[in-house]
Amino acid sequence: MPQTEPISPPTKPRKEPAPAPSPRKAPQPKPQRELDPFTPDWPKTRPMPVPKAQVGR
Amino acid sequence: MTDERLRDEINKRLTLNWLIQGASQHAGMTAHHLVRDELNAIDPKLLRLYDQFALIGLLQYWHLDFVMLFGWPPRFWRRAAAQGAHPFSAHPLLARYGGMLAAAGRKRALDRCKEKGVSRLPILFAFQTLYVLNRIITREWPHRARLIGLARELASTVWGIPTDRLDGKFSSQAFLGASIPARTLRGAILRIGVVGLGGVERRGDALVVVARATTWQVLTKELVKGTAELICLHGLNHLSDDDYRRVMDAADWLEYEPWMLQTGGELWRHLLALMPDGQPVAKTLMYLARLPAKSLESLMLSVIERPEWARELLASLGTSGREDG
Repeated sequence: MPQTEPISPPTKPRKEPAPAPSPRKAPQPKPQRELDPFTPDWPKTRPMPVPKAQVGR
Repeated sequence: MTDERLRDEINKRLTLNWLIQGASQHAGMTAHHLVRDELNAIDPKLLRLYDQFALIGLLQYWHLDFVMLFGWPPRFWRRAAAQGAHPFSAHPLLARYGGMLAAAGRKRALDRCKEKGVSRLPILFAFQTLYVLNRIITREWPHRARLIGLARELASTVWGIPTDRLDGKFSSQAFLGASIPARTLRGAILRIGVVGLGGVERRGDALVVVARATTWQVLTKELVKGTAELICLHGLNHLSDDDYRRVMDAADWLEYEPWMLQTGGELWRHLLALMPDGQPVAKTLMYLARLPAKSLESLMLSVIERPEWARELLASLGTSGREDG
């Protein structure tokens, strides 16, 4: 029986299988900022409206 | 921005100005009763004087000095409803409903004159105006510090805004009109008669409501008005700087304010009756301010014409996200 060469080991170590992915987290909705009636986004350089007046009495 | 879109934004600002002045006018008529006990503790005569002055403040628009300067209100509103050169003729709601709301507000005030001891006769009305005003100023004088605190607490109660965001002070009439530009001769004359003003100022990172007035009742109105203005900034911050300037140039005129005050209180009454239960009024006003221009117009039309439908629309504001236009 002819002798067969032993199969040479692979030159590169075989990659270990990637670890199983951890259970994927459900995408979290981006927390929506509660709008505050008294804190409007207002550009710092923009002038305010002219004050409103009570005229007469 | 196209001309059509600009017109829509100008109309939206006019509607918000109408609501701002309306909230203030309504507060002037009613808010002193929310602090009845505190006012009675300061001076038991004040409450009735404020009742009288509230009626005088509205009915003055149909009396001689105002009519000489601005004209007869029914005629003004008829001209607004007709197409032509009128400051409100391009605003569908002011043009169509201004006259009706003015008449309804006037009737409501006239109906209360007898009960509150306000004269309906023109000459007596003029004398009573001066008399009531002088009595208020005299009686308020020793209690001004306490009254300022009470005005801030009251505005805070009305809107839910913290009192540290409210800056209110008494001021002499001579200093009030100077900060407001007048664009016409009428406006210049009107500016001399300014007895209170309310608005918003930036102080560091904070926006603060600032009000100045000659009497406590007007000071309270101005704090309410300034807070409404602060809330309505939610409806202006999406505009570019240039569009903002164009909208303000077209809509924010001192000359328009008597007409907004004359009719806005009645509009605000309609709106208040339809506000959703459990939602602060400030939030509802904010959602209104954030609506696209045409949507705001439709909703306010419903408030006047189809209140039950408007009630449902108001209840849905803030839940559908469609107010973010």
